Amino acid sequence: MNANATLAPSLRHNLDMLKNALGHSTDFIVRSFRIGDAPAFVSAALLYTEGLADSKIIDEFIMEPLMSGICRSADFGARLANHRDPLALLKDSVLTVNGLSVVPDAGVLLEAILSGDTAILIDGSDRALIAATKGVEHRSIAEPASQTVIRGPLEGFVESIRVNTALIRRKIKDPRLWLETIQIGTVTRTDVGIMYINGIADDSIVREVRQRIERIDIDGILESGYIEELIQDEKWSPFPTIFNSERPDAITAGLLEGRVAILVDGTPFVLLVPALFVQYFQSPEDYYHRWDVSSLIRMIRYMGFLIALVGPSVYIAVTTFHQEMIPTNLLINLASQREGVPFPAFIEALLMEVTFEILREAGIRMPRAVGSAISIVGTLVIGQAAVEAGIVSAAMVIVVSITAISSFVMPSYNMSISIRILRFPLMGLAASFGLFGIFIGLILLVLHLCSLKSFGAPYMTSIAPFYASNQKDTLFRLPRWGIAKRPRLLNRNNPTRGRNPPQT
Amino acid sequence: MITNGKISVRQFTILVVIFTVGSAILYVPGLLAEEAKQDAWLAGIVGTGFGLLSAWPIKSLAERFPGQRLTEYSVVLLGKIAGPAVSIVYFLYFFMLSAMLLRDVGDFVTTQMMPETPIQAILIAFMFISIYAVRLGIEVIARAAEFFFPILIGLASILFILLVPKIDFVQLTPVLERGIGPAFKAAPPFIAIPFLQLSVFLMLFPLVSNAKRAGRVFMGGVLAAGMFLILFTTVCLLVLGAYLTSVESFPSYALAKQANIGEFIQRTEAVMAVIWFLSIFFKLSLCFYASARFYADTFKLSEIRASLFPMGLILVPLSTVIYPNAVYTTLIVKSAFFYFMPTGFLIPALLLVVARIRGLRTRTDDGRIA
Repeated sequence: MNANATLAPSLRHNLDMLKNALGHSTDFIVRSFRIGDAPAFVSAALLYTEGLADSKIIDEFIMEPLMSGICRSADFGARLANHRDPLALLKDSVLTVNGLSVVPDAGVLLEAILSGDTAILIDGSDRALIAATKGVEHRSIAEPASQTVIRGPLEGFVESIRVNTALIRRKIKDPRLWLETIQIGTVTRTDVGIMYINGIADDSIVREVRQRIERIDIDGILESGYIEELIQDEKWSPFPTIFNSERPDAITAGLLEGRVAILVDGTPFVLLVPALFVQYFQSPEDYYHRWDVSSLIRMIRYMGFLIALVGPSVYIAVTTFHQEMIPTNLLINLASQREGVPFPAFIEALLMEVTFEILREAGIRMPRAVGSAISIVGTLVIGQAAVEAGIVSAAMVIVVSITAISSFVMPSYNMSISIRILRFPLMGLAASFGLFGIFIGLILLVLHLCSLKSFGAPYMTSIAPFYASNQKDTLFRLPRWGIAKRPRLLNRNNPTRGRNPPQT
Repeated sequence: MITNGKISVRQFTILVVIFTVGSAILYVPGLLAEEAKQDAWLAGIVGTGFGLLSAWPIKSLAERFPGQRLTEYSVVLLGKIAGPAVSIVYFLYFFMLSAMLLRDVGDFVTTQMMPETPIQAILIAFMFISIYAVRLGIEVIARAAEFFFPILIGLASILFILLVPKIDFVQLTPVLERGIGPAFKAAPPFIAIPFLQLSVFLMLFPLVSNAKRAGRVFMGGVLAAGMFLILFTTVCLLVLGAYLTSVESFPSYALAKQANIGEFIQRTEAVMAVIWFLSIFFKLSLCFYASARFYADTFKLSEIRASLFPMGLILVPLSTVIYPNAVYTTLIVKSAFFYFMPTGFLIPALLLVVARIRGLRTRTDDGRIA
């Protein structure tokens, strides 16, 4: 069958064509029946995909009206057979199902069937009725596994885009919340939704998102990561320039700040653009706790970021090149610890960091049942046993541990992956150039960060370029009455959030 | 494209401040204290005053020809031969200056931090980040400066606070022991570094998004940086005393070593090193950008990217031969006033005078010089 084949008036011909097109797949159900009764009846068929269509809707609102009541009479059969537009008759006065449309095209028909809709074909009509019967089983809404919070909503997105849009709409009841859907993937035909608040989101950003998504030419989209990789600004960067979250509250907050959400059917991870560097240090929970606590926690995150990034390299630089910077007593202690260690500090650190990365990866991939085994073995390889075996010094274990813990304080997993990668080149620089090398590395890093853009917005926005008004929610989070303005992204479109003078 | 980069007024101010503090922060206290002794702070004030005067023609030129680089109006003002000749002088000047700055970093790191590392390795590493920065464009350099500026201020403040217990006001006495003369005699090297190097901004003024305010913030930035240098010199005197300040090769580094709070916070020279690395990195990047820009404009290249790597490749060996040794460096620095005078003051002043006499300025309506 070619792609835009049209339907023929013969039911038999149509059914054969569709069955062939689907290769007689066994989950493609054809239910033949008659409308009317002998001697005047019309042959008809119901087509749907088992598992995708809701059989309850089909039974109650399609099959039952078509095969009972007036449809069982020969009078109706004759009327239908002689009607100018039999499909319209069925649609207007028989079928009780919601969402009905008439299509002439076999390609559209197939796509509808494969998305879970039900087609009704009748003999003598070269068109078909499509009834909306999508009823895919989806995972129930559960607490997100990543980005956990202590206080705040515990619901997370699921794999169905419909449920996800509903989760967002449930939080924003404004009619200005708009949703556009595009199908991406020549084979998978995945629904991709672009959601934004009209009037708050910048039009140029929305247009840019739409254009970039429409430009995608790929056979299949299985996760929002595909989209992310295909539409991000900078291909060669360890830093994520598109934010993702499986928390409806985080996405909703982004929409309220004028960002654009990209929902992909089949994954609970929703994308948010434009993404700024500071955004990766913000957790939805910051806004649910008191502002002073949140500000303090945010500072801890920035500190954690720094430690995770340069912790091991500073240790290497100081112990290898700048011993004079360590207080004498500590230096003597360190030296005595390192006495039996056969490796230079760099190799020692590399050994431990790689071991830890392996442990971390194993912890994610292993079957849950063997979890305790990994933790027992893990504490041996990066713990006291490694020190006693004389492979590493005790100080190194502490450095690696604090680095590891620090990398977990990032609320966003993809930012902490970036630090994991960048730690290693920095360690190399520290081993060859000491603090000067770390300095070189950090300058390169900042230059790179400053050159990044996310959908037109400079990645470091609110720090560089510096916007004083954004500082209320960058390093600190000011009390809510202090944040009256939306953060400045590209231009200021409807900036005022609300006015809440402090209660006296 | 790089040439179309726009920098905000705020970013421009920060670049001016960082450039002016630049390499001066390491040398100025020693230079001033050598001649003026305990009155070095006074010499600093004198130097900053003259420095502002020398920056004035640059500002006036930029205001007279908004949106245009020196290479563009020098041709109109001086003709088809003298104009490009001036550009070539500037190209060579900033190229040499880049080499000198690069060497400063190399000398500092190999003498103070890592004596066993070959200087070439340091030079290559530092040159590399500068090439990378200029490749990314002046916009990114400006943003990075904006990012680092609060950190610089924070680090400098921490350093000052840590040094408070070491301050001894007796070190400043006797004031004006030998009259005001030494203060004036000490000032020229300070005027040369950094104030006579400010002509680099002739290439940056056209990139500022708000040309009207650029001139004013330029002078403001120079003044702020001058005051910071005076403050730094004063703290050096207060903590180290005039003698140590003048004999140390890097007095501000020696200064940072003095901090000691409760035997716990000590050896804070890394803080000083970071301040200095950052400021000299931006200074080098701007000089390197200016030299590449002058080169490209003079020889009518459409962009500077292609010439960056070869220029960097020349700069590394050039910087190793530009001074035979560190002693020679101080000699050059002392007479830098005369070397930097033409490019820093005379040529801009000359251009300004010619423009005044011929009544030429950039028309704001069509951007032509008439």
